[in-house]
Amino acid sequence: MPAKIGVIDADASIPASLRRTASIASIHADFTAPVLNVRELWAYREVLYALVWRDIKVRYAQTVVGVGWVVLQPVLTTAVLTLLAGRWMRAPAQGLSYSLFAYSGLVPWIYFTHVLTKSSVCLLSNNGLLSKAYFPRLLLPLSTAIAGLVDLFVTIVILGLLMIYHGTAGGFRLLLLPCCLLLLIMVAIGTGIWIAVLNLYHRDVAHALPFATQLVFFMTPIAYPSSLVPQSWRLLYSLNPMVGVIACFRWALFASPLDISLLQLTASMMAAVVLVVSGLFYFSRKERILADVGIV
Amino acid sequence: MSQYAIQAQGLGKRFRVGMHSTRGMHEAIERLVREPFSAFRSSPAGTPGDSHSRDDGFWALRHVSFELTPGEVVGVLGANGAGKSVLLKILSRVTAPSEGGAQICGNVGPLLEVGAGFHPELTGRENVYFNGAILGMDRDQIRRKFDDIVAFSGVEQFIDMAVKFYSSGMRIRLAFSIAVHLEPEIMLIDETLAVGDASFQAKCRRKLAEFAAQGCTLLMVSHDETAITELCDRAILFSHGRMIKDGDVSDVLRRYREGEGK
Repeated sequence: MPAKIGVIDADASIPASLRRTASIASIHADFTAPVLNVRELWAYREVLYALVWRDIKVRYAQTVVGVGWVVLQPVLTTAVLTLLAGRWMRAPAQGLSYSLFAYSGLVPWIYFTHVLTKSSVCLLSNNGLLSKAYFPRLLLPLSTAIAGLVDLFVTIVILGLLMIYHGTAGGFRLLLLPCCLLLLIMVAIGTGIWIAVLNLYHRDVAHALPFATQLVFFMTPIAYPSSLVPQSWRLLYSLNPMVGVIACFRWALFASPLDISLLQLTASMMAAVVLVVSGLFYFSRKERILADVGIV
Repeated sequence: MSQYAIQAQGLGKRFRVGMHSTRGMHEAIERLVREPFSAFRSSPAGTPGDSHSRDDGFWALRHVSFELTPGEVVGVLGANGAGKSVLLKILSRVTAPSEGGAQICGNVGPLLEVGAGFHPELTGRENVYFNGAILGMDRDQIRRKFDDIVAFSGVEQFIDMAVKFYSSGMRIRLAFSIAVHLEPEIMLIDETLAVGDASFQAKCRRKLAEFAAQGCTLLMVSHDETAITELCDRAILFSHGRMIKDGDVSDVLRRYREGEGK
């Protein structure tokens, strides 16, 4: 029926944005998804925007304190740590005021745990969308990491105020802070996508997560500097990518030397890269069957 | 370019039975450790976590091949569990097939089914923008069509109320309304029409007929024989995951009724 075939040829009548996949889709059982399809992610950027916007909009609906939660969590934790570790246990603080030291570690840490918690449920809570329309599933964990940036920004502003209050001037290294943030976001996304998929298969992951993050909190130089860790343990300790992130963060903020050796920094970075690459690979292998895992 | 809107070749979908049954702590832990690594071996994507047990599986759909020419309106019939919804999920790329493949030529609208992807905390208006974006409209397009969408859905009064307070009928009307205003070339419909009240159902049927007249390809799952007779040029009957009849609507309907009678 040539007359009807014309309908498909008349592609021009379709709005450009609807033609995002060149309007021919091939579905095959033995199709292997690329590990990271940047072009496709870009084509679906409006979806990412919508997901981020919704996350931010919904986050503090029906709460009394609202955005205040963003401030309360790090501030109260800093207060407790200052009293406990700073005053009573006299933990060293790289020559900084202890509260500033602790707070500067909490800023990246709280972002990290926030992204992990949100990522662990992002596929489950968006089941309605997953079962309804096609879009790159990677956008879901990505959007949680991006939406979390609002909170991160607020805590960084407070950090700036604290630095001014303590008269701790940041130098030219502050210009490198965005690189540190990028590293932080990368680590958070890498861990987040692992947890997002694992939690679909084993809900144990969500149960274990609060406990696990609490353990890792003690294995990350937030309340104490890395220099407190015995020499023989340092390399193993640095395999936690957050060790590198926090060391870089403090290095960029304050005019203090890097808290860890270059070898440790390299180990931490390598761990971060392995986390992200393996996470993307794992996700790409599972992406097409996410909707099957007993949630739809 | 293909002369078909949809061309399915040997589509099949297998689910593992009892995928989540835990046969003891030891096995559960072993699976937890092994599962991530199974992704790194080359296992077919359509078989969830099937690193061990390759044979115990349930084929929800198998050996399904058909062609839809652009502008065709086809009804999909079958008893519950015949594989109709799985077929639509594969064609809308919500899930991947375990076997075979399909070529889809044209923009596929959202898979319409009961319980749309609305966020309960957002208002109707916000959900229209959110869903529109998920389904491929940019903000300008949604703005232009917003009034039409709301008018068609008939929930004007409640558009600034959180969707959690909507009735299920209101939700599906709004969801359907967004979907039809996307103007897709191919629409996959999964028993949505059964949800709204009689007048909304009639309105939807008119809208779908209008789409069909414009050359939109429709593949609709329905138990509503009147809707199928009224709208479709062709019907396909499924039973236990296999296509058992494909052809003229009245023939297929007769066979469908026979099957139900047994």
